[in-house]
Amino acid sequence: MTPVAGHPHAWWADATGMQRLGGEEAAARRLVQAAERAGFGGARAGVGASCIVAAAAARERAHPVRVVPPGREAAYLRRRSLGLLPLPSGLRQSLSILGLRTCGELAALPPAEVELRFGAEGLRAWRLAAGDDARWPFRPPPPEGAAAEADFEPAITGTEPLRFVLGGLIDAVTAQLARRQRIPAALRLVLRVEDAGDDAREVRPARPTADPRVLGDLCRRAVEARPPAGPVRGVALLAERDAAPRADQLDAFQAPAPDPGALHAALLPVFARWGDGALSRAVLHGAHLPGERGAWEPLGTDGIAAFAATRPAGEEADPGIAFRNTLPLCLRRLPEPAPVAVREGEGRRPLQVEWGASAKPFSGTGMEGFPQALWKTRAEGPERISGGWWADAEAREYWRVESAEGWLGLLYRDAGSGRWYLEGWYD
Amino acid sequence: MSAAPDLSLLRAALETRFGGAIVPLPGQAPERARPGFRTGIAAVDALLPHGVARRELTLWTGEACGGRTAALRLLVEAACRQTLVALVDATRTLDPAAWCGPDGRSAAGLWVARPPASAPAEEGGWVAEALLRTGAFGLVVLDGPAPEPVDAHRLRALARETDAALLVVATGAAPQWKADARLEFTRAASARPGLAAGARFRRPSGVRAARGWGARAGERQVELVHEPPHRLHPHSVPDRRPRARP
Repeated sequence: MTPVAGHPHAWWADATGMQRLGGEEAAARRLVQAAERAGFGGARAGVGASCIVAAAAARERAHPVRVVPPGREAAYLRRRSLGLLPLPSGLRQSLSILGLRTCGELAALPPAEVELRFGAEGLRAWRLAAGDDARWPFRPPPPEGAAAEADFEPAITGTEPLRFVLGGLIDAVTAQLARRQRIPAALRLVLRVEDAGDDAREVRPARPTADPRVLGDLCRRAVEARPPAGPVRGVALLAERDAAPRADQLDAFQAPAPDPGALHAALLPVFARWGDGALSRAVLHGAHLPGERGAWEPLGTDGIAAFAATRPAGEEADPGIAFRNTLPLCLRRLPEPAPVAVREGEGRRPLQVEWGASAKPFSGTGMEGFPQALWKTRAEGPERISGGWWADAEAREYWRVESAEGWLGLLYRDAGSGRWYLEGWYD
Repeated sequence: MSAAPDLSLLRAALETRFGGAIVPLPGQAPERARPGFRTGIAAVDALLPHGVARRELTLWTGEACGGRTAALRLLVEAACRQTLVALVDATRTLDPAAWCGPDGRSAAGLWVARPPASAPAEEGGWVAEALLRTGAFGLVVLDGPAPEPVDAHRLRALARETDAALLVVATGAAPQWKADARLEFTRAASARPGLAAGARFRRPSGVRAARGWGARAGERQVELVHEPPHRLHPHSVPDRRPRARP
């Protein structure tokens, strides 16, 4: 229970979940009896689906308990006085001058006309008069479906029109959740594809958020990642999970961790341009081929929350660093192995390597100093590596080659075709 | 002698008691300078005594096979223990196996941004700027083509604003703009070959430091030794694999 602001003898009571007490009406009667036993003679209770209906029902002096059935709110308020509605005095006076006395008379007016004349306050009064009250004085009720949908007539073939509709759907869903003081944690986007049924995708922000920019970007990417199989005749957006919009408790003695939601919002353009690879991590697979020993795993926006939760040891320099003067070289791999011409010696040892007409793919990769023309090499190898017998079997001979200037690269010879490729270089 | 209380004494006492928890209001007092990021390589740290400093743009240039990537990996490995690190692999050439730790994954506090195959490597500067703007990272590394002078100026201002260290590991031609600190990795001439049968690859390399563009003072050269992470296992017997017999 919670007191009604401005009315010292009135209380709001949450009547949900009263089935075990015999229902809402029985619970209200017990509440009235308890109030009378406590010395509050003439106590009354009104039960309704919205605050304004419950308040009107509680004012009926003839009934100690008055229950307004769900769906009958507008009809119940039709004959009630406009004095019931909590309106600004200016608006109340204006409505009185216009001769409006009851809620029904106000609710009968076209809402667009009311909004045009009296603005947002007028529209709110119109909604109250129709029994639609957004106030909710208690804790959020159990989750219920927040959803919005739109139909296309005729069906659309591209994804471009969806961009314009999705913004409205997101606003509608977040507004529904906001009435319960909740924000979306996961959304379900359903595309109604003609002759192919429903095509659903999950949209999950890095952390629960009501930011329309973030949700809009995620929805757009969810659509573009897998275009629908045919013309779309409708789209629906449902809140699968919601959460409380609360801020994290900060630690007075530690720098705050980055907020995943803010990080997501700030990097939206990067994810839009670079896709899920904009947040990647290296994973070791342990395969034999150098190109398959590890992989960059694109995490996308799903990885933001885990990343932001990482707490490094501290800002001070790590005293455990072992100072040394040797550098273990790292392999740098070309995005695709590049074919090179190799003059072979005994045992197919590469004696000379030539890189000629195909030099273009090397530009911008950081291979400064790679000898462009024919160059002699010192080589170590071969290391024969086979793999992938279940798919496209590979049999390669890997050689490390060094130019006279000290350029160290990794070549391999495809044992099947006999062709040579440059895998990368050590740096 | 002034009768005004010496607030610096009070501040020093509070810092002794509470350490880094003392955060002055913005604009009210100078912020406590936070240390830069050191690589753990004696030669590089000797050239950059304060490490890759916060609020500065540090530039690493040089030839391929000069040890830039190896030094970068050690720097990132050390920095990840202190702060969140962003690494932009604009050229898509970093080998993931080299960046995995003992657990088979890269450090949890390392954000690696990689472009799709279709995106030009020059977009790396723009992504580094977006990452800097978040203010979430203590170290942002751009590995790729050096940004244009105007972009570099903006990146430096952002690093100063967000108290982050910005490192540009430039591929291609050396940029024509001035960095706060600059290291150049070069393959030193050697009479002996680095590769030897059954042995490691060892070759000296030089690292030269210059503070600012064209500054001669403070330059010095050191020798580094390179050791490849994997050794190949030579096969002296004939190749009898079915796939090897066309």
